[in-house]
Amino acid sequence: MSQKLALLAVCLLLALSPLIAQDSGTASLGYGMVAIIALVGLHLLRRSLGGEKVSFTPDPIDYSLLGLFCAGLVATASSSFLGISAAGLALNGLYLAFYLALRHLLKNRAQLLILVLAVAIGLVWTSGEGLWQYLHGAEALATWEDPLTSSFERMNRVYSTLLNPNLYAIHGLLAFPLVFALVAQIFSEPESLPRRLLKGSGLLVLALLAVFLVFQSGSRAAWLGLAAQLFLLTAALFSRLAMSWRLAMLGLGASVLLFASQSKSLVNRLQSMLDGHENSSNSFRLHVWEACLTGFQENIYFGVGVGSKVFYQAYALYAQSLYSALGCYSLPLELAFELGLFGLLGLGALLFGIGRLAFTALPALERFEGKLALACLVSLFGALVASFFDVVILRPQACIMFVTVLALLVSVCQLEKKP
Amino acid sequence: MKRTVLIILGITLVLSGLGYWLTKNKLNGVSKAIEGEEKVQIEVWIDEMASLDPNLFKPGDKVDFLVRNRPHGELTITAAQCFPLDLQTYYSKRIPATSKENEAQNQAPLLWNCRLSLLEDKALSTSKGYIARGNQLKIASKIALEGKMMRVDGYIVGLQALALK
Repeated sequence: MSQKLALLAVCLLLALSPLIAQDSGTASLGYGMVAIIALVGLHLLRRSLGGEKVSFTPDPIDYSLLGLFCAGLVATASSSFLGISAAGLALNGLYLAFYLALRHLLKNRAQLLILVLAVAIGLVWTSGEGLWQYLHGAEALATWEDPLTSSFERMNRVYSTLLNPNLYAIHGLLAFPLVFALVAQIFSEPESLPRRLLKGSGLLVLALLAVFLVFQSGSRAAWLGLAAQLFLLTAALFSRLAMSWRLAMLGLGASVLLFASQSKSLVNRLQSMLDGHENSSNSFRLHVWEACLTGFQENIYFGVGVGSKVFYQAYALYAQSLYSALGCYSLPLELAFELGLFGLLGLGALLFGIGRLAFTALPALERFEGKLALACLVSLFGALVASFFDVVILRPQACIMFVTVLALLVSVCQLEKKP
Repeated sequence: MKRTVLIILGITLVLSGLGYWLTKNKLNGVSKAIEGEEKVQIEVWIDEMASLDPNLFKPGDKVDFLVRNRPHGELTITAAQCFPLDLQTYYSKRIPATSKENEAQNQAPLLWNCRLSLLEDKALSTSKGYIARGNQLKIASKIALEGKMMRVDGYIVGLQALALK
């Protein structure tokens, strides 16, 4: 019973978390995770008291996450901001426990399917609101304007229910590949075409709309993530396709590029990625990166401590006065700054673990598990590439999705191994 | 599995102990960057504050302080002085002196220049100056003060260490 309740709570968390945008509301996401952990703990306790053996097959990804948590523990013990770092560490511990709870929970295909449907429901809210903003115009969130680009035609940047275009984009990057896996499964089933269309067209429209709106968020980090996802997907599928499909894909890609090159605002925004200090947004990031790098060099082994509040306190010691920031604008740099060399090693181990699954343990693509595993890889790859230039992935709405996709990937690969 | 976890936890314990010892002895990077902790008096200048009440600021009151639009937290006012502007001179520069409405306005002093002293209990003294609650405090930085009934903009015009801890 507690297992079913836990699964229901996970679904509610995934479906509703994109609706919570305000910082004050994110505490409820924390309570949700605590409830799920408690329910899974209760389920495991009952099983073990009933004489059942509770089995858990560890994966290198599990160890890498434990390693990251331990790097946080070391950083906290070594931090000059011990109290606030302990609060940050507690949050990291919550994410780790949530991940482990999901790993215990996801044991069969039905559960995987339910989880993906919950993600799709979350995407319905964000895409609906995003479409409205695209059609009717999204109100600017900040009054600040880049003086160097203000004369150009501007993009209507959508941010949907998450009230932050970058957060919305990374949430979308993590979510829509899972819906595509479901669509692919529906269309590969041996049924008549009208029946397949009836079942899958709604989800297909939802997934395509989500891709389009992630693009319309104007988040340049997310654009790089999208490109990385497309690259990975092409690399994984290209050799399996017939020549006619390959040519069709190339034609489609060329058409999209040609169409995109006609939009002045889009070309300006793409060009701005290469502007360096000439673009004030890039210049700001470069200054922040320099300061974070200095902070990392000064605290190379143990870091400054865990969490955004510690970052806020410690960053001021290394920042130039006009470049105050709430994050490093790069996940590896943020981990290096906060957790030191051991944090970087933990991230390296996580990337290695994901790569190992991709090359050695991916289930056959003919099965739903295979499609879902590939979707999880695409999802994580895009989000991680985007996170090299932004740290919104550390915000609860995105972090919960990231942890869920990671647990899905490991669970689905382990599920396939079982007889 | 248990063995691997125990090894990871063992290494963590040793490194945590070492890190704690280094920080305790001020040998970590952050400790080296911090030269000391001080109480700092922040002198603030508010230009041309429009208000019917010149006694908006009273010593002992607390106000919310914002540095370059970033919330800093509450600070205590230790001293406050507001000076009425010479309105004849002020308005003559901006509005034609012959305006009757302007003459009516000039009956009551509505514009004030204020100088306030605010107390920051704990600021870090560093090579980059004073840092308090993650904000670098610099002379000429734009600040804002917010209370129950007002929000005014001003500048930091002075920073003075009061007592070394």
